[in-house]
Amino acid sequence: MGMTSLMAESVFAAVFMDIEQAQKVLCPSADGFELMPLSWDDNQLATLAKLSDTRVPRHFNPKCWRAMAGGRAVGWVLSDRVAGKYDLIDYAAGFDAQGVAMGIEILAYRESHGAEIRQTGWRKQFVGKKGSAAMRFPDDIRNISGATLSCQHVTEGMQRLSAVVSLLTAGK
Amino acid sequence: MVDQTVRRARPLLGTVVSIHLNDAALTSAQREAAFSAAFDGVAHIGRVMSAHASDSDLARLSQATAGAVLTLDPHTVHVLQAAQYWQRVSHGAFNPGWAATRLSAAGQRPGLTRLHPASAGLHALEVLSDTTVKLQHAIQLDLGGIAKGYAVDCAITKLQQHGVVHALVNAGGDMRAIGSTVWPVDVRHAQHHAMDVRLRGCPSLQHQALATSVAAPINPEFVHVRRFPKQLWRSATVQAPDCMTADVLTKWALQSTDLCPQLRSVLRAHQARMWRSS
Repeated sequence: MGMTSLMAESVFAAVFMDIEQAQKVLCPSADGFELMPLSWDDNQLATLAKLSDTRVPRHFNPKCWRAMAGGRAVGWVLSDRVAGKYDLIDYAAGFDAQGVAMGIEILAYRESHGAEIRQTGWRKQFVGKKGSAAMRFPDDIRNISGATLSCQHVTEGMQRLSAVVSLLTAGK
Repeated sequence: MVDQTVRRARPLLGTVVSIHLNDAALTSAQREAAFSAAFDGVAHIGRVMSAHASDSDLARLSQATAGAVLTLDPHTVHVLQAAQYWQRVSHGAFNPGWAATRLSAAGQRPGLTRLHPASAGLHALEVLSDTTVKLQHAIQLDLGGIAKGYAVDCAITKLQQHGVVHALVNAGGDMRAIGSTVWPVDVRHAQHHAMDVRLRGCPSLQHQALATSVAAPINPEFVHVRRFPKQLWRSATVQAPDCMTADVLTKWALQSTDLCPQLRSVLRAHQARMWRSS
């Protein structure tokens, strides 16, 4: 087993569903989804942090759709990305019109492994290698054993999305 | 080749649980029903066997006094019985009582309230029926070394009940495949998060389960080195017919010697194979 194969396996991504599929799964009664632009001032960001009991990341910028059925708003679908130590996870959550969470789906996750790749000694061993040392494409799923991916950041992200929806429903 | 696999993933059991279906014969609605039932099954196991939630079966066990008879979820009783079997067969290498003591002392198992100073292990638990157990002493248990594998098996059962033939369930590295699909698998190196070394002799998974555990210092709580002055193995991967067996055998494999005739004989008896790295 050559070192190139180690490199080839070192970065991977898995795509589970796109946002359109997630919208239908999370809010099956809706017949349409309207993109809602979101922006917050400092006061609202502080409220989000307090409501969610989490630190709001600097680039917190979830996408939000209002789920419509027969011209009436029946809920919300929000999508966001959280970054772990080695992973980026895209996920979406559905809420009913009252802001109660109805479900969560992971859209994609990818491992970045930034820390190790920055270690020059580790990287040197791949210099001059080619062929299989390419990054994997998102649909080429490797099933990784021994990799306990933590979903702590998704849990915190979900708390923030719930807080966003409570601000949205309070504003109605 | 067109990839017909349909995938879903949800944050469950403290990790990402993914389900991959490769069944072209099923309709979209049948697939969604299968996904839903399987994820619900995993979530149920996570709820009743959580050592974090104060209303789980494990929390109730930790709060009960000596002599108490408790009614538990049948899945919990099944896993407790399996845990007793594995603790006995492994001569204590697999020990949910020890894991609970270590983890709750470190404040990592808030659900396991320690009301009683003398907490015993699995030997103090007597199974009375499919849903009832009796405690000889107050006990404290953590099923982290076995329940995730069992949750994967439950998800597979739910999928099969919904007509799924070819599928893979992966709960943060503990995985099981059914059907004829060959699933590519990598095993992450224990010391370097960056490296996922293709497992020699097991490059793919077909109709089997696979689990990997890593030892201290990465994962000290679940792996109690009893007899050996230094850690022998850093990573152990086990392939077995079901995921609970694979999961629990990795814990034993990490702690046994190179030759380990007892472990090897149990592996053979359970149609399991192991790979270890030091």
